[in-house]
Amino acid sequence: MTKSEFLALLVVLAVVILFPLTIFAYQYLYLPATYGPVKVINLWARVPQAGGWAPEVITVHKGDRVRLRLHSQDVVHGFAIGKMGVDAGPIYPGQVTAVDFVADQAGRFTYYCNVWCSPYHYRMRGILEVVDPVASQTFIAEEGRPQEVEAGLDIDAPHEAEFYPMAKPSAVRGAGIYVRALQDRRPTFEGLGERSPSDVFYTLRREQALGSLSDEELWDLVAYLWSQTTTPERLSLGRALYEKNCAPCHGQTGGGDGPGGRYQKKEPAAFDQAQTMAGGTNAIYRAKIVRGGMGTGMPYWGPIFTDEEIESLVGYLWTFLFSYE
Amino acid sequence: MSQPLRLELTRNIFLKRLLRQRAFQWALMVPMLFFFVLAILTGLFGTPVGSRNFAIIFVWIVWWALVIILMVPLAGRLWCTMCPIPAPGEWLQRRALVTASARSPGKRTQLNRCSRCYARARCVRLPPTATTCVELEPAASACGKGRRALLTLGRRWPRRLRNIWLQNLAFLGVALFSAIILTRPLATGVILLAFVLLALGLSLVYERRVFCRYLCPVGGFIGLYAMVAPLELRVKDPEVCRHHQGRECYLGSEEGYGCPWMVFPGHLERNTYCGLCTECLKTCPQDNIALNLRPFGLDLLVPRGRRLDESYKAFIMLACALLYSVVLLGPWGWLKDWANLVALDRFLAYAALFLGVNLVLVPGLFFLTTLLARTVGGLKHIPLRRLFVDYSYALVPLGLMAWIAFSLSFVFVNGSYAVSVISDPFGWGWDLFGTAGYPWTPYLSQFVPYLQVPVLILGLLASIYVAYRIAQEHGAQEGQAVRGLIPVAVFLTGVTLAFLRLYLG
Repeated sequence: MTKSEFLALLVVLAVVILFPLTIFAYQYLYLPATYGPVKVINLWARVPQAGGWAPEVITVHKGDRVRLRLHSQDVVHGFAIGKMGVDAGPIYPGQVTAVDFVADQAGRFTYYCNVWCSPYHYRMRGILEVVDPVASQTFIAEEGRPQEVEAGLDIDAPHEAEFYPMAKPSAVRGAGIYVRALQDRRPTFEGLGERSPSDVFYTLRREQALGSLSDEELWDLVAYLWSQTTTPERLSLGRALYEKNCAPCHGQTGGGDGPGGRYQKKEPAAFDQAQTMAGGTNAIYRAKIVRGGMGTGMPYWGPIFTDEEIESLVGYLWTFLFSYE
Repeated sequence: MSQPLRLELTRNIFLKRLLRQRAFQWALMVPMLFFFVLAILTGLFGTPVGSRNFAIIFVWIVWWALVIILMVPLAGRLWCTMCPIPAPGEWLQRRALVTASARSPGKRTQLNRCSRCYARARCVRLPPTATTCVELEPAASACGKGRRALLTLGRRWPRRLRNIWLQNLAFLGVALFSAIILTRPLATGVILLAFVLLALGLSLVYERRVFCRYLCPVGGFIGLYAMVAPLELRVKDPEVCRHHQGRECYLGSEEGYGCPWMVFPGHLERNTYCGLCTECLKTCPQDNIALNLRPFGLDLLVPRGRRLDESYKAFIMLACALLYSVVLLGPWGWLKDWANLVALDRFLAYAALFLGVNLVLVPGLFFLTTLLARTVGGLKHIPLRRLFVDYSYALVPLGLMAWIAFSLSFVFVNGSYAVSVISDPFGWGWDLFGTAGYPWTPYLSQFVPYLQVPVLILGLLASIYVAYRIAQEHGAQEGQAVRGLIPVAVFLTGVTLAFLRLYLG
């Protein structure tokens, strides 16, 4: 073999053998070595009907600094871990999105896609297990039964209201009525949310002191009372959660006309229907969010939303019935 | 003696020396091999998202654009010079990468002097003292039993398949599944790997480059459209070849190998099957081979060599340009779904439509056009099949321009993906050159129609001119040629209008 032939062969072997080896060595040996003490986990996302998350279960130790490298293999996905405050934002196809967090709490958490990706978007969930190697405890201690169950509340029963407003009541107008009409007797707002607006309206209607108020004024008063059960910060949080997680099916304006709704077994509830909303209570909506729709297609959010998030979301739902601005 | 209107590039001493270097083709192939290996690896192991995968972007956008917009129209088969697909097989076959094998046939055998055999180039072995041509029919198999110096069984390609029908079918096969291949990196990786393995396997069984000559779907249309290109490789003086006994250009010598494309340069009149490998430039002891620049499209006016398989290649390329424009660029989402194999029954319907247009409708319409042209042009003395085949070469300029127009649309719009992909070829989150985050940016997309229209018009005019010259070639008088041209011109104009309608709305 001549020298030129030998050199030519070396070059070709470098291209055909050495080059691929270098690529894989760079990806699987060099790069991981640069991560340091961070535990790096690759997570691949596909639409649920093509596999969803891979892997579906991630296990880390309590105290681990974790970097999730998120790859979308088809469409734009989102990523968040429920009850952990981790949200990676959109994951664009073909690009890697990294999110870092510290697994400082042992337990089982749900990670999920929070960008509408397919008709089966809500099935796109996985489990993050944070194991405490000291306590050998993986799971969250068993909680008591939900209070709605304890109270025997049938959250699937229809709740059409006997009394409901004809037009959207205004909390701003209601504030003036509250000051004017209830100067001496200002009821507390405690427990208000556990009653339906229809029920509260009926109670107020029977008050002789409020006899001079029209039904519309009385509904404005109810709207004002409801507005005092939440705060602007919670409303803002509720709005953000609604728009990201609920609007695809329930619609931007709560009309039950979201584009994802047509893929569900039952038409999504419309929150702008006064007769239905006025008959509901915080307890009912809270329970439905936690439990899900039981065969209707509505996913369960109990493992994902914190109590504060659920309260904020419920508080926001009332803005479809009442105007707070 | 040079042909008129030709500029011999190899008069330049530096260029000639460069082309005669044994390492010349290797030096072109190795960088392409690098990209080829990367394309296969990214196709097989990279992200399935096509816009972020090197295999899709650099094969179907960058490489395709370079080939169809620049290389083929200007330099014919220049891509074949550097194509890495046959390289492994050829290197194995020759047992060498850059040197001429010490045991090439030119060394071990004496070249016979029968002028008939040169053209057919049978496996010839002569005893040392013999001078007469001895063709040993079993020689081929005898050669296959290890007597050949090359690492190949050296079988000859079956005579019945020595045409481009298989290339036509191969191209149709790839084109039919193009909505899948062009968008799925894995499909691209598998296809490329399959090509190189097939070429390698064939090199070990058959002589020379049978994959390139008879099977490669890309080579089929490059060869057809290379007839338009101004670059050619020809003998300087055919008389020199006629009197020269050696035939080193075909059989090889100490300086190099016989033509891998199984072409005898002395008879070469068209670019169609010359792969510009430059072996003949190295081996010709008479310095009788030159690389020339010549006017565009001269090969289309060469009557010798026109065949039905090449005609069908012209129909297929024109039809596919039209179908691609409809399916891939058109607003009919349901058609894209059919082509994308969303449902098998719909894909089969699409396949029937696709193949029907390619193999029946377009050739059928052109057949009627030819029939009419024959009648009104007073060419009834010309066999209909002859005229059909000859006139089909008039489709070549328009077909090429249609492909250029089609390619312009997606190159300008999607070319920016190359910037991000070069930094992250696998879609693994790399950023080698800092451009991984470069956003998709359509470049000058508003000007694309202003490029497409003149390109198509140019193709139309060139095609009409070729049709006119073909009519004249058959002895048609001036008036007859013009009358005979009208049906063909109407056909060509109709096709052009269809393209314009698709691109301009």
